Amino acid sequence: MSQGVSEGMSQSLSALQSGGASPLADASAPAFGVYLHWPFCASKCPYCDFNSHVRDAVDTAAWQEALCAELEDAAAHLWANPPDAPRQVASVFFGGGTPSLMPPECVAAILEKVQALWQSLDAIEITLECNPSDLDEARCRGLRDAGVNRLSIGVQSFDDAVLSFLGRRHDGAQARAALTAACKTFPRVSLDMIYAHPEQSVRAWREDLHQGLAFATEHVSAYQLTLEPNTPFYAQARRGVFSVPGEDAALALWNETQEATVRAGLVRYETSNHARGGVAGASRHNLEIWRGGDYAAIGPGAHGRTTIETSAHGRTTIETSAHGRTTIETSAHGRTTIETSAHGRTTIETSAHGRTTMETSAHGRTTMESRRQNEVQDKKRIAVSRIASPERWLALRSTGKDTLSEEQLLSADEIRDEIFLNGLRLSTGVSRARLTRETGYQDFQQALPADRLTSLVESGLLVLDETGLRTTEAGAVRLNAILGYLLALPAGDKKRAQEEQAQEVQGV
Amino acid sequence: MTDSHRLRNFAIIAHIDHGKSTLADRFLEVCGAVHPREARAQMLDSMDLERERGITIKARTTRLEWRGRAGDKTPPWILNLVDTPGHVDFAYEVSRSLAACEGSLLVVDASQGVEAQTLANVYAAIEQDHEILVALNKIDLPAADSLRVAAEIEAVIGLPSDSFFPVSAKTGEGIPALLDGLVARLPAPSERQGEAFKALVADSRYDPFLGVVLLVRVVAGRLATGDRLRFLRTGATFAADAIGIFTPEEQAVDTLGAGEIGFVVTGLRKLEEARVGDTVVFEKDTASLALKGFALPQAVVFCGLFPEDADLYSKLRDALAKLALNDSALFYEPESSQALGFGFRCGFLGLLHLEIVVARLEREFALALITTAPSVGYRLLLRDGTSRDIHAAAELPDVTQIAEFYEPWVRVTLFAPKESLGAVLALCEERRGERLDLSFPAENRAVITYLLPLSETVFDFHDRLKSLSGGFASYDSRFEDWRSGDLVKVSILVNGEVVEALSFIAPRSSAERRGRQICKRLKDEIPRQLYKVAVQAAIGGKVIARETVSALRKDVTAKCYGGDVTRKRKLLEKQKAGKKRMRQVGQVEIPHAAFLAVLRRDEN
Repeated sequence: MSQGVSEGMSQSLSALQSGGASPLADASAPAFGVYLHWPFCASKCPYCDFNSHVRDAVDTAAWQEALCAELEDAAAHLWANPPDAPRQVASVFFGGGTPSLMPPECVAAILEKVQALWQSLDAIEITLECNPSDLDEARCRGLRDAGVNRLSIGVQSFDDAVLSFLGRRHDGAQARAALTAACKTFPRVSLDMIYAHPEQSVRAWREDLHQGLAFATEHVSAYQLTLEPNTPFYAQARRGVFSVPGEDAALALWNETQEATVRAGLVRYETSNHARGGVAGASRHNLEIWRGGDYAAIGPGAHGRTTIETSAHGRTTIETSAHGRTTIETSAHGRTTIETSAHGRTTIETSAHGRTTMETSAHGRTTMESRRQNEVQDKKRIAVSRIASPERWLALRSTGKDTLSEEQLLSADEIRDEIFLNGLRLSTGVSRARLTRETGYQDFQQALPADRLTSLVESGLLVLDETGLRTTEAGAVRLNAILGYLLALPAGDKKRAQEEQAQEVQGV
Repeated sequence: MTDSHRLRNFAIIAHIDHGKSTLADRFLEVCGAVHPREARAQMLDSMDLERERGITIKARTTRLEWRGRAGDKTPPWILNLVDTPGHVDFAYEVSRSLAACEGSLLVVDASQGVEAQTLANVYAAIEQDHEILVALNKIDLPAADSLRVAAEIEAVIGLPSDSFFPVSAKTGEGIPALLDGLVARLPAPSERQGEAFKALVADSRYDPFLGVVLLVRVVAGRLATGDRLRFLRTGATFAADAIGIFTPEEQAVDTLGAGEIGFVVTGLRKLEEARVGDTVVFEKDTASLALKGFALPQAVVFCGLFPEDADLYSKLRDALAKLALNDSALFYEPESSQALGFGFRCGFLGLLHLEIVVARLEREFALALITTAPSVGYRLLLRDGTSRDIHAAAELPDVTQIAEFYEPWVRVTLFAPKESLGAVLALCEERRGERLDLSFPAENRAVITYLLPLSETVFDFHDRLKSLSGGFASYDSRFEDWRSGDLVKVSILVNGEVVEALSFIAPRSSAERRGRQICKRLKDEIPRQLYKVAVQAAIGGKVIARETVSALRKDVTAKCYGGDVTRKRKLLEKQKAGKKRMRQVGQVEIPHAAFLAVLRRDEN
C-alpha cells in the first residue's frame, strides 16, 4: 500500500519536471506563490472593482504586524510545510489597492517573515504593484533594498486626457518619470495599459502604446477596458454618458496590440500579457497561478488555493476557524477526513484506491470518483478567501482570530473548470502533464466533452497536440465562448453516464 | 324520492363574463342552499384555474329547492341546474350537458348583447328541443341597455322580447321572479313509465379515493345504491358504490329516479371506460339501446411538450398521466426530438384546452416546459390507397407518396360591431376564408359566417379578432369537413440540419412568406456564438429563405488573476445552469424561446 503511494508521488514529480519551460522546473518540493493585499488607495478609479479603499490615515505598524501574523497563520495551517518535503516560496506578489503606498520598511519586514516561515527558491520573484504618482527614484531604491526585484507599474496611458478620464492621479509626464526611475533601479519592470476607452481610434492607441513600448520593459500588460458591475463607469455607460468601442472596434484595437507588441519584441503569453522571450519574461507569480499552482492569501479580500498532498507518512492536521474548524487528517491508509462545522458536517473519505466520497448534510450525499488511480492518490484542493473589509480584517487578525470568509473544498469538476479557465488564457495552454497532475485525467477527451473538443479543433479555435491543449489566435479572442461551450457539460465520463441514463428513458 | 312533475332540469348558457356563474351563486343563495356567509364567488367553479379565468371547464350541477316567491310551496320544486362549459373547445361537453336537461336559461349581459358563443349554444339547445328562457343580466350597471339588447336577441334568436327576465345576479334583483318563471315555463321531465333503467353520462371525473365518479341524468327507471351497471359503448361494468345529489356539496341518497340528475361512484380506475355521452344500464339488461349523440372527444390541436430540464422527463410523464385521469380528451404519446430530447406529443380539444393543460403542468407540478408550436391534425390519402392522420410536420412521409393532403375546415360564426366589420372580413379573407353569410341583426352588429381552415384559426385568430374590434368581436367555430389543399412542409434548417421541432405545414401560397418570417425571428432569438449560424427555410429540397447569425468576433475577459478565479468559476456555473435549458443542434445552441418563435405570426 505505502509502496503504491510513493510510486504515485514520484510520477507526480517527474510530471512537474517535464513541464519544461516552467521557471519552477528546478523545484524539488511543492512551490507556491504568496499574494499579499494592501487594500488602500489615495483615490478610487472609476473603472476599478478591486477591494480598494480610501482612508485618511492608515496605522501602518498595526497593518505590518497583522500581515505578518497572517503569514504565520498561513504557514501553520493552510500552507503548512508537509513533514517530508517542505513547501518553497517561488514568488511574492504585493497587490492592491496601491502597495506602493506601503513604507519600504513594512515591505522589508513582511519579506523577512516570508523567508523565516518557508524555504524560498533562489530565483524567487518579488513583485510590487506601483502607481506612477508614488514612484520616484528614492522610493524605487527603498523598495529594491527591501527585497523587491520586480515592479509592475499602473501607467494605463501616457495621454493626459485619457488619464483624466480614467480618474488617474498622474499625468503623462509623471508616468514617463516613474518608468524612467523604475527602469534605472529594477532589471524587471512591467507596465499596465488600458485600451478601448470611449472613441479611442486604432491610431490613438498605437501612439499611446508606442510610448510604453519605447521603455523596452521586460513585460507589458494591455487590458481592454472592462465595465465591471458596481463601478461608476458601469453606471455611467448604462446611463449613456459614454459608450465604449463595439466588438469590431475592440477587435481592431486588440489586433493593433498584437502587432505592436510583436514588433517591439514581446510575445503574448496570456490573454492580456506580453513579455520579452514569452514565458521567460513572464510574471512567474501569475504564470504559476494560471497553470494551476497554489498561492497563499494574505490580507483583506485576498484569495488563495492550497493543495494538500498526503504522503504515506501519516497524519496532517489542518485547522481553520472562520466558520468553524476544518481538520484534514490523513492516516497511512489514505483516509482523509474534513469536517466543516459551518455547513454541517462534510466528510471526505479517501480510500487507497482513489475513491472519494463526499457527504454533506445540506445537499445529501455526493460521490466523486477520483481518477488518480496511478497518480498521487490523496490530493485535495481548497479555495479560500479572506474577509474584504480592511477594518474587520484588521480587528480579527489583531486579536488572533481567523480572517477566512470562505473556504471550499473544490470538487473534481471545479478543479477541472479552474484548470481550463486559467490555463487556456496562456498561449501555451494546458499541458498534458498539468492536466493529469491537477485533475487526474489522462487525456483531454476524458476531461472535456470529446465531440465539442473535436469541433473546436476542427474549426481552428483550439490546437490539441502531444504537448497539450491551447487556443489559436482566433480562439484566444473568443475564449469566453469557448469556455462556456467546453465546460458547460460535465467531464467526458460523466457525460457518458448521462447518455446511458437517457437511453434508459428512451427504453421506457 | 322526488315526484318527477315537481322537477325542472335546466342548463345555463352564456358567453364568458356574462355572469353565468354569479347567477348560479345567487340561485344557491336565494334557495337557501348556501348561507350568504359561506358564499364565495363562483361556488360552482372549483378548479383554481376556472375561478381565476372566470370560465367553466367541466360541467357542474346543483340541486335547488324552490318554495316559490311566497315561500309557501310544500313540497318544494326541485330545480337541477347544470352549469355548462362556456368555451368552444368544450362544445361536446356542452351538448351532453344540454342533453341532460329539458330547458335552457340563456344569460345575456344587458350592457353587451349577444355574442357568438351565446348564439352557438342557443342553437345547440334549440336542436335539443329545449324550452329557452332569457335572463337579461347586469341590469344594475349604468351601461346596461336592456331594450336594445332585448331587441337584438329577438332579432337573432327569434324569441319574443316581452318574455325576457331582467335580473341582476350581483344584487339579486329579479331572481325570485326568474325562479318562478323556470318552474312555470320549463317542462317537467318525462317519466317514461315502464321502461328499464337508463341514464346518460353528462360528465365524469376521476377521484383518487373513489375512482371514476359520473354525473348522470336518469332518463328512465330508478337506480339504487349497489345496483350492478354497464356502459353500453365501452362495455365496462361496475357497481354503484354510492349515489347522490349536489347541494352543491355531494350528498348521498338511496335512489335516483327518472328525470333526476346526480352522481354515481363507480370505483372504476380508468376514465376511458366512462366516456361522456355514454349510456348506463343495468348490467343484466341486454335489450336497451344507447341514447343518441355519443361521440369520442377529438383532439384537433397538437403540440410537443418537453421538460426544459431534460432530467425531468419522468416527472412530466407522471404529471400527464395524472391529468389524463381526469381529462379523457387529453391525448399524449412519447416523442423524441433530436433538438428537444424526450417529451410528449399531446393532442387537445382546442387552444384553450392546450393552455389549461400547460398551465396546470407548470403550476400544479412545478414543471418548466418547452412547448412547440401547435399544429392541427392533417389527413393524408397515400398513393397506395391507405389514409393516415398526422399530428406534426415530422410525421409527413415523402411527398411522392401523398395522393391528397387534407386539412380540417371549420364553420366560424363571428359577431362584430359594424365599425370593425371591414377589418374582420379582411382577416377572414387573409386566412383563406370563404364567406357564407353576412347579416345585421341589430343596428350596430354584424353576424358573419365563414368557412375557414382550422389551422388558420388556431394560432392567433382570437387575439387578432379582439384587437381589430377593440375587444368586441367574438366567434365560435364547429368542425365542418376535411378538404384537400395545396399544402407543403416547410423545413427549418440550422447549419444544414433539419430541426423538426421548428418545421411546419403551410399552404403553398403563404409558405414562403412564413418561412422568411420564421428565419428572421430565429435570427433574433439565437444568440451569437462561436460559429456562424445559418438558419434556412426549405420546401422540398429548395431553400426559400436564409438568415445568418454572425459568429462572435471578440469575447474574452481582459483580466483574470488569482483573486478573480472563484468569481469566474461561479459565473461559469450560472452559465451551465442556463445552458441546461438550451437545446443543441449540431454545434449550435438554441434557446428554448426560439421554439416559440414559430408560434407568433405577423400579418401584412
